[in-house]
Amino acid sequence: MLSPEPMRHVSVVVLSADLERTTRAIARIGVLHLLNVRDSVETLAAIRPYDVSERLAQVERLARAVSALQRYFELAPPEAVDAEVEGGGLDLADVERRVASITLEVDALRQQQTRAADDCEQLRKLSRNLRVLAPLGLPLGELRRLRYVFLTSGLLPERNLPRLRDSLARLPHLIVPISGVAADARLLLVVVCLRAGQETLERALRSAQFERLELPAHLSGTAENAIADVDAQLRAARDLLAGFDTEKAAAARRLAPELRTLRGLVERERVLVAARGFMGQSERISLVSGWVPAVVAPPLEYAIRDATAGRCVVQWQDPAAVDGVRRGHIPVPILLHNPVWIRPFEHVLRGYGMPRYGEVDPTPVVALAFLAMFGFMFGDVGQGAVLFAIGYFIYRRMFRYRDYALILMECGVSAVAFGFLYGSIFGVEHWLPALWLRPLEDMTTLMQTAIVFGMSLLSLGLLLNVVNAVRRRDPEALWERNGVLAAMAYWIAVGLVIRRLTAGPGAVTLGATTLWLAAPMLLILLKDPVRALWRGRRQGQRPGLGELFVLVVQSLVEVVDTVVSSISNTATFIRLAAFALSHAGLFLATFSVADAVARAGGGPVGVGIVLVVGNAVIIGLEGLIVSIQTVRLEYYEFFSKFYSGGGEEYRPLRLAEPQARGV
Amino acid sequence: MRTTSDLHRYAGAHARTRAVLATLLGHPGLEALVSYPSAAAVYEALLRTPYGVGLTGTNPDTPRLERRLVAVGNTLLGLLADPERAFVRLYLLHHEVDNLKLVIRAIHNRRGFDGIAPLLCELGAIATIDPRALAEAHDLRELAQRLTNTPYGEALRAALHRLDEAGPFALEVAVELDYYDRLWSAIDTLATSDAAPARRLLGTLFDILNLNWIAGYRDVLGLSPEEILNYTLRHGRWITAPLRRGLAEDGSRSWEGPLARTPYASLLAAAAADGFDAVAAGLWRLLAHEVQRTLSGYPFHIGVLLGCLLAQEIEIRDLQVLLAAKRLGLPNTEVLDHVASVRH
Repeated sequence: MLSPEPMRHVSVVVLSADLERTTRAIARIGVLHLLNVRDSVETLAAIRPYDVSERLAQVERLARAVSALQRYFELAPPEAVDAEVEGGGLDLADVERRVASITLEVDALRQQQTRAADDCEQLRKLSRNLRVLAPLGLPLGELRRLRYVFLTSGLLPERNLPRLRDSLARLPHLIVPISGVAADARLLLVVVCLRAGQETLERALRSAQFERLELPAHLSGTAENAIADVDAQLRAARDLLAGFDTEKAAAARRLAPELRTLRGLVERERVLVAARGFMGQSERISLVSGWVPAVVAPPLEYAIRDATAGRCVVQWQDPAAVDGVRRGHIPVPILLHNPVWIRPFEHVLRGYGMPRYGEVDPTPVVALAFLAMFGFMFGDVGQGAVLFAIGYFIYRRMFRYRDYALILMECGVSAVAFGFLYGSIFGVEHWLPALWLRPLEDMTTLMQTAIVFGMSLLSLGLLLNVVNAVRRRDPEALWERNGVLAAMAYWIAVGLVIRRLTAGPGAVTLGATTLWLAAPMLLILLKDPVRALWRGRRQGQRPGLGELFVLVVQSLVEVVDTVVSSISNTATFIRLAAFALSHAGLFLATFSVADAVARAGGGPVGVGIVLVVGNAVIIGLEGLIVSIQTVRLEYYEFFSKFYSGGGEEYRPLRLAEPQARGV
Repeated sequence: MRTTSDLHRYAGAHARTRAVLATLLGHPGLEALVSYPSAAAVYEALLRTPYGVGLTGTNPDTPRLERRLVAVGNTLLGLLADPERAFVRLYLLHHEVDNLKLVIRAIHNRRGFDGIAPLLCELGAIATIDPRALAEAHDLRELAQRLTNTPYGEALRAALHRLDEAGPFALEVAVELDYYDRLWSAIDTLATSDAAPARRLLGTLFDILNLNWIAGYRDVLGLSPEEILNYTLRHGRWITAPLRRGLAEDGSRSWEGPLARTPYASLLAAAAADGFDAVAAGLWRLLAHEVQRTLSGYPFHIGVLLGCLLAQEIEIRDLQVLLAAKRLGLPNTEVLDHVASVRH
């Protein structure tokens, strides 16, 4: 807690022949955060990065092929991939061969299916065409033998009819819609023109997407007579198609496990090949480097030595000893290490950015402050219990949202605790005694408490800023904005306020306040000019008067900014009290509406509905607003004092995401 | 009352439109770019302009200039409510139609997604289809199947029967005409004060598309008049059905006669002698003038937004022309003749 997990840098040199085994061993143990050799190797000129682009493209191609097969068989979605499958000794070439063989088999089946589906479609269309022509009662042979008139029937997209009419404006013709709009927004038409205009009409119809109702030459008699024959053929064709569907289902059952395995193998290869892109090689040796949590360094080394049968060099370094880290271009990854109940609040931290290595991990403070502020603003035993119950439900039923469920449960507990302090249960304030105060009856104490809480949190922020500066061995940061001097000024001001509140108005005079605050302010005002003078003296180059003047003006702005921001940052915490009051006020409003309903003869049911809906609205609306305010206070007031984010999250090379976190 | 309602609907979008217009390079910017010695130098210079964000990391040979348009479109969409939002989104989807045409070609020619990826316009959240997934279709029938329940499914299915006879062209035309028909119909969903400027701008755009298509179908492919009439847009500003017929049937391939009563006659006067492509920039310049006129009038209507997007599209077209001209080594003076952006 309070510090990210200590990391160690590891460089592993293995024979290139052993690299694949080593990479698999590293991925299996899943603790190495890889470092790109392009960033880490400067002194070893012989080491060059692996070029994995071709191999990666091959893996991507295979992944797409397997995914297409899975889609064809309507199997599990491709993202449900288990990269830790056992492949029974298959390598990528085997996978490629197997995928090609299955694709061949599938293509044959698909072609047969397509052919059968096409036949079905043709017969279905023919049956439909005959049904369209049946009411006309014309002999089909006669229709084909018309000498002076050209007649055709077919389907036209409804939208294209005006366009077709435009294009036929110069040709004498007749367009007769036979029925209304067909199911696919097409019209059934009979189009007639003189035989001389046939060519023009056909061109126009074709380009208007007119689909002619084809009638095979062998059909004779009336359409009515032909329908029975064609329908019998259609039934046979559908049976054939159904047979292929059954065959496909059987193939799906037979191939599903194998495809899952192949997909897993391809995914595993994708991870390993991508990892290879981070590694370097010379003629015979390969280099792997990265970061490992110190606590799991020995198992990793054991796994590497085991995989290479001892043919390796493993070199460990502390972060401070790594040249790139010292020069600031290689970040040390951050693995936060917090107890289960605090861990969900790491999301709040991630929203702002990870801490940098060596800095304080403020997650516990964030969690405690979050819960305290939430409870303060949302204190109610009944509603807290509801929040807890919702959180518990999500925790049990929707495991992927467990982090948010935990936050909800903890917020519920905090709201219950404050509910007891306020003596409020679903807004009713006479069932429980108030262990501390009732918000609407003692606003002054509520506001004073909110301000004191704010002062404490801001003080903690300023303190953490100093601690971070010391931990980073960054003396400059001690004197920057929110550094020691600003903290000193803030604490002096806090002390004076406390004295005034405890000892009465006469205890702190304006003169004493000015005198106390003058010292740190003067130091802030002078620090930059003094530093410039000191630096100039060391470098033998004294700053000019103009430059000093600019620095003084800058420092003056900083003083004003420090004073204003300290006041505003503290005053803003009064919103804790304001939202606690608004929470109680919303209850008041709900009860007023319930009373009005009762007076209007709404009966117990009406009153009950108002109370339930009112509470639901308060939980939903107020809960959301309070959460937003809490996050806002943490980000803008607390984090701005000490936290800059910018750290890199620890992401080890792993074949599959573990079910439970931790290494 | 109308002004208050317009103001309410367009205040934010209008302010943002003005900001976007200020980021256009304009004619002076294009003149400056023309002076660069090569296409690579122009590309480098573009990296330092508002186009730079979208260009970073892309191949200089296929610069993704349209990313700027998508970014602008997304910003404007965020400031609108339906039906204006739906309309502007539908307008932007003409790039999706182009993407779909590429996918159709890729499947027909068995080129795979990689073959068309550099040419696709990345539409982000605006998109309604995923070209990568569609390109995996085994054939065009499967593509039509996959497009069921999308705005393109119906048109594509209705044209499938022509695949063997006319090839992918039939599908492309069907999808494109259907899209533009829908876009024109969508104008009816807008308020009257919005519909008029939308018809004016889109009408001019449709005219230009029709003229370009007629030039291709008549002079290059030699299609019959009835085919040309069926392969062009029914709506437009000046180009009516009789005019389209007149152009399609004109055996002398002249433009001036049939278009005599439209502003296009003078612009296309030299087309018969020099070829249509040589004078096509003039048509886009006319649209640019129309856009400018719309932008300088009453500001609270959809025309300002459409104008902004059209101005952005015209500039992207100009930049593509400029890059192509630089690759071909055309003289600077000649390049500017093909540029459509107008001086402000």
